Amino acid sequence: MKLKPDELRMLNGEEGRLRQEAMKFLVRLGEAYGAEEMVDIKFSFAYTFVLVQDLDPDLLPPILDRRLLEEYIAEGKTVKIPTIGGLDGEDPDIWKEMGVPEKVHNTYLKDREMECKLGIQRVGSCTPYMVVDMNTPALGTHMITIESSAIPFYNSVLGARCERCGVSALLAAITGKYPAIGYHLDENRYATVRINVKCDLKNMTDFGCLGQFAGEFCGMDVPVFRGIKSATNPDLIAFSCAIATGGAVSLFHIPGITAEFRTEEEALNGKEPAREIDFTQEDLDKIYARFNACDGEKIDTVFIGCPHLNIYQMKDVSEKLKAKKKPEDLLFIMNTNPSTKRMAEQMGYVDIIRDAGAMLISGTCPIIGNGIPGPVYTYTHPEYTTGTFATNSLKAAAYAKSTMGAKRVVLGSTEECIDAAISGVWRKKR
Amino acid sequence: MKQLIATFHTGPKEIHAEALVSHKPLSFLGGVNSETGMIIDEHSDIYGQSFAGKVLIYPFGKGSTGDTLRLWRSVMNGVGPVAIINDTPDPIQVEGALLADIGVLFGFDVKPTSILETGDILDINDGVVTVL
Repeated sequence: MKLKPDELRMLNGEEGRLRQEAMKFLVRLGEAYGAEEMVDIKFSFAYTFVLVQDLDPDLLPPILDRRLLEEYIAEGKTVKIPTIGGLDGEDPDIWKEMGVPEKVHNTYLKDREMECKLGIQRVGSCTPYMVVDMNTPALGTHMITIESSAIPFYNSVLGARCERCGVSALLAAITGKYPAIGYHLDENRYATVRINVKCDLKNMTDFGCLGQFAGEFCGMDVPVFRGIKSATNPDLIAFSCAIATGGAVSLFHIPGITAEFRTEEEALNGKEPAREIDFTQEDLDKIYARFNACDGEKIDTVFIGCPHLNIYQMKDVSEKLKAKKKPEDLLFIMNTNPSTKRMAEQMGYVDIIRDAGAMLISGTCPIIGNGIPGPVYTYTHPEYTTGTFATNSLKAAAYAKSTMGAKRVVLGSTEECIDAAISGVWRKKR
Repeated sequence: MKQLIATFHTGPKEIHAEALVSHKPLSFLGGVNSETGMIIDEHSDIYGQSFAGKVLIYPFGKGSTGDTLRLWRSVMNGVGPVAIINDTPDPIQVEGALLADIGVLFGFDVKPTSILETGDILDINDGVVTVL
């Protein structure tokens, strides 16, 4: 790889150990992919740790060693580029109510402090574009994000350039660099397959199902879509989540909706797609059918806000919940981020939601935290279960059994989920 | 004699191990137990098998960015694969392989998942994969 003077300085250790280790790793990654050079990263969305359920937070690879980070901070260094993060392992406002053990809570406090000292802006959301914008306009911007559901959204809807990454999000924040590979390069951004949507997509859950289907069909290919008449941001967010769950798609093009290409021909770079497929009503129904555990039966858990609810979704949900109350033994979880929660408090939505008996969790994610609060807390407990689990999120439905203790899963619209949360029974409407 | 040449490869130069081949994309989240090295996804074609000490071969990785550390963790636990071979590599899992210093091989002329079979004894030398 051809490295520039500032990159060599870091690699030679002239800017401390952490930047040297970070550059060494990024160079190895670049060399693995045959990269010719590094790109300058303008924006990072990182976590200082990845709080995965099956990891002991004290056991992280050397490159994420807290002592190395502490040394870096003691040297007076912070992240080199605008960096957001702050997705927590708990909601700090209601950690006791969530049943988080005190020892675990104290670990989160330390990590929060470290993020702040590093200069990471703690947005606390998997959908930060619904809360705070990037400092730099997105189109064409080289950036990085550790949130898998956000990668396709940043690349496709906003036209930024980022790759699927693990620890690199933090390393790029520390150095301002990432290898020039994958979607950072023009030649890799064209579509090579096409999906012809032949049915109506009525809500974000339908978009999630299309995302799952598309992810499975595309694998790691870049698709262009025909037949999507319109989409809201929540639709596209649900779609991005699902396409990164069903497959490893990081970039998609919907001409007229996504940022980069205005026509299908431009998206395909004038070529014919290597593969194509139709997505029909039957295909949509088949995806729903995978999460069709029951109809007319009792629900134990209703889970919405994956990804985090934005303020308009909070408004919509609170209107449906006004003066209603959930059954005593039903667990009703809603997820959002701290900034949206503050706005929702001012608007009175949070009171309505709490009066209905829902637990509003902000700034965290059960997939990276300790499971969702329930009769027994933390998913590693042998009795942990969320029973028959209803959600409007394809991603949540896909991970419900393996990470959220669900025994059976149903997927439906927001309306169906809220009806189930109040009545305690799942009733299919579609 | 079956032989494949990787355009991109990193990790130990010489590896000698048994192949475990899946024809489905692999997510560690929900798909693998990092403590035991077992495949726990019921929908996987290698469900119930262990990749400990094997060359794990699959089309590509999918799903969560946390898989970097999940893969690393399985190697730290002594139950990880000795190398991964992909039709198309997912940078998330490549990062995990780099952290764990195991082999990563990709960029072949043909899809490795269409040539290699579970149980093949592989000799990997500087990016050249030979089935013994």
